[in-house]
Amino acid sequence: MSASAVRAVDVRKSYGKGSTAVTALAGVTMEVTSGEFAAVMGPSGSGKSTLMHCLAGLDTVDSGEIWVGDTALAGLGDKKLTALRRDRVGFVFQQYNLLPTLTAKENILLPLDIAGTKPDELWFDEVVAAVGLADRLGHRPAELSGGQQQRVACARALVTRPAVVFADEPTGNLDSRSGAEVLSFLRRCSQEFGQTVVMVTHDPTAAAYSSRVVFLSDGLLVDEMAKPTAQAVLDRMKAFEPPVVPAPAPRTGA
Amino acid sequence: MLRATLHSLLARKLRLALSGLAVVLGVSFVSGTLILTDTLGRVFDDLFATVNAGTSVSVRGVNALGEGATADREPVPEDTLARIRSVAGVAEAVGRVLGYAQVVGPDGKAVATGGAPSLGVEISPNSRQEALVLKSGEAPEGEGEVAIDAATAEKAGIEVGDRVTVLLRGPAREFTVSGIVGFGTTDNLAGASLTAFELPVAQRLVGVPGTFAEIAVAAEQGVDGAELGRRISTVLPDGYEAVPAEQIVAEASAEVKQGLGFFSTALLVFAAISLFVGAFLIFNTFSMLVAQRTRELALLRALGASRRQVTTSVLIEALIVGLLSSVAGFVLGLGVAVGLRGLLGALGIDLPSGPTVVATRTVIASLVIGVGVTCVAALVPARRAARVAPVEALRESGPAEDRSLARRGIAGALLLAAGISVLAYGLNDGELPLVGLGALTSFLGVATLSPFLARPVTGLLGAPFARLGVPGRLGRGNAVRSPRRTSATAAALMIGLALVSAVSVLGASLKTSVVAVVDRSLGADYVLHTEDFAPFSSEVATALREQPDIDAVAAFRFGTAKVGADASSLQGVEPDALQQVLKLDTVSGDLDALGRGQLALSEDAARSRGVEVGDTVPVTWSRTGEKPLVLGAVYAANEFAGEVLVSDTVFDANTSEQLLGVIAATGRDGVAPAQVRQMVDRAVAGFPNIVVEDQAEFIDAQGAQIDQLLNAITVLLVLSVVIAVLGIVNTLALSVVERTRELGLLRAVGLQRRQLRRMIRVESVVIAVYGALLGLAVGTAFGWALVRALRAEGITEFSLPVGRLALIVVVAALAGVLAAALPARRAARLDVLEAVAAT
Repeated sequence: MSASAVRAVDVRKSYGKGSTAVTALAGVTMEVTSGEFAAVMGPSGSGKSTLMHCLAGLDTVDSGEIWVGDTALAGLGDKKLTALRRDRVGFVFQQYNLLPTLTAKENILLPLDIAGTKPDELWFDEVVAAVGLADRLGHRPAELSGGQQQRVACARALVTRPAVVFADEPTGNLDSRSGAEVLSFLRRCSQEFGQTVVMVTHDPTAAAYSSRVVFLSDGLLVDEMAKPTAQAVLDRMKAFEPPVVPAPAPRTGA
Repeated sequence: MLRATLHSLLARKLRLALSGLAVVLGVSFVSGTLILTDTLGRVFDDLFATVNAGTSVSVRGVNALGEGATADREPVPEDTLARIRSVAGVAEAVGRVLGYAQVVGPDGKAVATGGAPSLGVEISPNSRQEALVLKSGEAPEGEGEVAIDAATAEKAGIEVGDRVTVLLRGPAREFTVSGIVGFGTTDNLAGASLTAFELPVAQRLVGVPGTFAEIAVAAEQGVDGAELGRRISTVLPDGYEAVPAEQIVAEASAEVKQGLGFFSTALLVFAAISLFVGAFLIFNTFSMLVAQRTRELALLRALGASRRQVTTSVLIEALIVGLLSSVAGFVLGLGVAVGLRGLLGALGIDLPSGPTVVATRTVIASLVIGVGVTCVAALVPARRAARVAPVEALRESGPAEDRSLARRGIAGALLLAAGISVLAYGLNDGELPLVGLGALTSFLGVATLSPFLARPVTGLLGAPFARLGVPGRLGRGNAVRSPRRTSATAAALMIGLALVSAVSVLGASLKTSVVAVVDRSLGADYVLHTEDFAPFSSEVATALREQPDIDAVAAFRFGTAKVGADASSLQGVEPDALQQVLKLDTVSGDLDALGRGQLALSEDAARSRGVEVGDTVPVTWSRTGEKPLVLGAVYAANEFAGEVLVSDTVFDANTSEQLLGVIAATGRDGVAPAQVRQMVDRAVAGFPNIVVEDQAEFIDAQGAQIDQLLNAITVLLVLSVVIAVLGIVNTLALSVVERTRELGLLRAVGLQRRQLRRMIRVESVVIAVYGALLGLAVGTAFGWALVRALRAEGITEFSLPVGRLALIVVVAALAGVLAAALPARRAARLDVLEAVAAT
């Protein structure tokens, strides 16, 4: 399988106007193939979140093309973009973002409910088993731990068998053990189910779970690394850090 | 601390403005009513001063009951005029005449006054005391001429030189209109129509021949009115008094103001209801703001703010909102006053123009009421804010909603029980303020208890929507999730709709009761009266009696007198016809005694006065004073007979009006109804002011009147419903803000804008319908209690207006859709990215 799941071609995006304009993306071209677990890394302000939002159809681009599968996002209205998100894209947010009025099961099935599609029972059971929530389905979010909530969010992202799942700092709010559970799950999705996953993170340990890391800096794709390890990613990230300003020389005399 | 308060106020200005709007509307109603009342009071003071300009002393018969300007009095004999003229210091003395005269328009219809009297008066163009000013034409001279007031002339399209028919106490007559008159710049006397005749003609046709209603005296230059009055008193026979003109003006003004007072009290009651509903809105808004700001408040506490400081900061916020709203409400009230005045004008009550009177009291009342309501409503949320623990600042989760409901349950049950007790007590004793207090307390009780009901009921109401898809299910879930908020929002709507449904139940019961009452009490085939139940000529009865196929004609005269120790309305009627037109059950004695000049009382009236047949009861008439009458009969309650009956002869001997209120007539046995009807119609052909109704028509007409009243009250309650709908808008808007992240997520995972809007609409409709159902339940209970309490007044039947009540629910649902429009639009426009990331 090497078909493209999501593709960006020379994407540019800036915020604000005139002298206060900030360029978030300065011509990014990248492709995530089907079944890949890609991590997007970069320092704060590198444009990684903007890139993800544009890829997911949550934000519009100034120029360039975005393709999800064989659908070009350019020129799609809100209705079609919404439908695309509903049917072809899955989301995992940093802050879980579950609906407090719905049970875990209802939260997982929400995108299908919105679309009015019957859930595939087998697939649903498989996903629920994979996230290990079979005995928690009747609970509401308030009755679940942070890690459990994030796993519900993962199951929700997967249940529609989307072309791509976008995960935005999915472990940002979790302790390391819960975080590891979620990341392992995302990796399994890619390896066992062939689910394409794009994850934005600034955590080298999280990035190490992916199959490929792309590095973004100042709105440009500057590097990429296959089969990453935490240490390799950390070393690479250090290169982005501004040179350490030497401390002023101690004043002589008094 | 103050700076923090102000900042938070500014940050939420839109939401606070919305809740402030409730106070603005309520206060504007209050200030508008007060301004109108004061302005009209001033206008009438001026008007009556104009009417009596030039007069120093007025001579009139003594009123035995000590009543004011329009009370029935013994007329003043003509020869008194000469005696008064001989008193030193009298510059001029003229007789005045006052009676009934009603103009018939060119369309053949009597010119209606909407309840105000149709007056016949004299005009003395040469008198320095004449208040009537000719606007065109000339003063009437001789038998064949009249002048009419400008408002009536304009309404009926009558001009100088036209021939008009004038209905009088005696037979109607034709006149030529010689002139159009007014009072100074005013076209008529507060809505009353005026027909003016030359003095001797007025005496004969509208007054009592050989007498005047009063004698107006002008003093010579430099003579004091009070002193002149004392001098005149010495020449007057017993039973007459000389009163300074100032007193006459004050009496007339006081009487009009009493009517105005009733009008303004009624309006103020509705203003109070609106403010009460507004208080719910304020309470709800501040509760939600406090809940949303839990972390912010906790931070303040963590940084060392005391509980008192936190409470004060919330209350200052309320104070500022209240103050701004009160000022805005007061200003809007000026417009409301103008609007209400226009409404009176549209009802045909021509008011002389005058400066708008804004009393200091109005300003103070507006501010005190507006600020007071806002602060009291914010008190509980403010105290709740102080209870926020500093540690909340560090918590991740949003505001929790699982405080124990037990205390609330006890408080609500106590409030409800207290409310019902006070209400029952008030209804039992006929104490209206207690009824109001009981109703308000009951509302608070139901509102406090309503969160217990909210979850199951809104869940049930939302079920049909939930079946229609995800937006419906989510909307239902949102309505169910915070029962307190849903309840408080719905409670505001409940109040207005409870009152509407209580009034509807009362109205429907009234209508059903009328049917029963007519069936039970009225034996007559036909009832005759004027459109607004204004008095009419006894010639109508005479004309009916001339018809061969009409068997019994009972002409009811309406009056008041003191019977025993208590004032009562009483009726004079022909004794022999009475028993043929009414179904009267004699309890003791014999109704034929009426024919011997005796008195008859209803069972209740006799019991409350502790009198029995054979006793002598002192009856005090305002014109003739105390006349002892023997109680000849006691009859079972009959709505048409009322409490006190005397014969027509006794009535006419003791009153001066000599006009009829209602005629009841029955056809001869065996004559076809159509033929009788024809005869009745023929008899009243010359009296265009008379309405003829058979029993069915009479019932319909009563029903139409009840509907009219019902609709008027409903319209006045609309304001409170509008405020409650604003409350729904506010709650939804705040919920949208509070749930920004959820909304963002829903949009992110594929909910269309349309679906999002539908979700909010469903929440809104569920809340609105829940409020309507609460209102219906409470209102029906109130209505039932009212009907029970008014059983003695003849409301014997209880009737549930199912159609009308169902309509209320439908309207509430539509209001819910309307209320959702803005919040839904805002929610749909949320930027998905920002929403998802919102904290």
